[in-house]
Amino acid sequence: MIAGNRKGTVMVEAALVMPLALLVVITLLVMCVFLYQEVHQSSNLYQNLLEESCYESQTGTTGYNISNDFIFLKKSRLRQFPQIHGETSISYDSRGWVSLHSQNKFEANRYIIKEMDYIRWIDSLKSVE
Amino acid sequence: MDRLVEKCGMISVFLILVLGSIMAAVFIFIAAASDKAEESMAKGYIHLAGRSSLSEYHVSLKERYSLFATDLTVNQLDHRMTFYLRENFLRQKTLRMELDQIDIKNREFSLGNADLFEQQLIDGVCYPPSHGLISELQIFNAEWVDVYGWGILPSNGSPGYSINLTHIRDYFSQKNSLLSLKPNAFNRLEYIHKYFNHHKKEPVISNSYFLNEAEYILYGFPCDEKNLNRFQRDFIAVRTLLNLIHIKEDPEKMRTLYVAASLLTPGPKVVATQLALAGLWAGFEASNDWKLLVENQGVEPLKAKEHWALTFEGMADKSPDEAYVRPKIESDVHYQEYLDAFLLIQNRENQLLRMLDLIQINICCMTESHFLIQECFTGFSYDIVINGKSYHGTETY
Repeated sequence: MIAGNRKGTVMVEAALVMPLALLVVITLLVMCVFLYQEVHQSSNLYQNLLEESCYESQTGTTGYNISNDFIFLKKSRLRQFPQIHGETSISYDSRGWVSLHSQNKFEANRYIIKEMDYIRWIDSLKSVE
Repeated sequence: MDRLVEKCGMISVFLILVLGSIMAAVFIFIAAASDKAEESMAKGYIHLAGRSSLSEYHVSLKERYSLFATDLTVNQLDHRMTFYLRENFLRQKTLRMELDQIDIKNREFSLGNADLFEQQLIDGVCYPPSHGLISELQIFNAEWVDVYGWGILPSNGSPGYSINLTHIRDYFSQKNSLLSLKPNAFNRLEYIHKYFNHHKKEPVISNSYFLNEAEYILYGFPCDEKNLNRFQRDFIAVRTLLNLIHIKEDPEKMRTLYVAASLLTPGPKVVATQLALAGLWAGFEASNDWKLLVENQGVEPLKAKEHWALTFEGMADKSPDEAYVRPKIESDVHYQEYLDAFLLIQNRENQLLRMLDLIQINICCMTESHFLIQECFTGFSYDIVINGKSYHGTETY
């Protein structure tokens, strides 16, 4: 009789499938947030570099307020052409039932170019010749 | 009633709701991410378009004076920016970008602005002069401005002395007068050395309408001779004063003057006559100093006995048209050094604006056009709307 009774089968199936479905949903949402953060942070890094290189070369402004946003800029002036190196990272930490740790690091470089100085520099080489 | 209690399809509805919510959330994140990516891409493209537009700088201005400015009008800049942005948007396939509106302003970046000009001058002064690189075939038609004029000059063509008495008093009242000068004053002076002629300049910089350009910067008369005469007058005035100081501090000269004054006007008028004779002697010596300078000889600013050229007896015999008398020791301070001293204490704005006058006049002759320095711009500001989002900023050389 018990074997023939189909009452509660939906409940049992739901109990088995629902956690899995929820896990999939949450994983998808977390992935979306993570990917969005990646785009957000790399975009901020690029805008920071652009604004900073314009400021350093005194060639204009881009209207972007340089904020920290966990972005680290390093200027290397000893090179042939000065450069700004920027890096940032985003990380995801889960310390619950399942421990997850994920980190993505972004790096970018931008030259500090003042075309005016470059042209004058080339001209001064010509005059030496 | 049966349909209300019927549970078939319940799971499908549940799954559709869940999947629909997930899809909506995913699309929201995609939209936000593309919005953010679009922002940095747009800024990159705007910067690139700005640099490309500014690459059309005025070549003669750069080659003759090492100055970077564009003579593109607002409309031309607008067209250039639109062209570069649209071309870039078409060629990239990642995001759909649409240029909605563009507004360019350049008035505040006019090279006629003394501050902007000074900034460019400071940037360029550390490099060798660019005018040596100009091809000898470059046309310089001085008659062009004689026929068509040189337009409105940045200084408004206002001549006159640009050193006021208060300025000189303040300058000399400071203990370390030379140190009180701002570094920019020396930069401006170096620029004048590199790009402008003066009466004794060797070799003369070609492609110049006026020969006495540094003198023009001091006095602003549109005539070489008049500017030189004004410099001569001021030089003699300053030298007379310095020579008087020397006479007063030299007991031998004072004794000679006292004897001469006693012979001329014995009695209580001796002191006044002595002073008048001292002034006369200092003036003649100053006039001799000018002749020395013009003949490429040096004149010591603060003279000692051996730097003095005219004796009291010699002064009486000498006619003004005679050649100069050499002092015992020749000085290293020549025409240019005196000119530099005048230029160093000149009013900053007058100096910069008159430099701009000369640039405008010479470029008019070089390009045979109605060139106006105020119509050249060192950059522009923009207000651009891309995909409904507004971007403000500036682009400069």
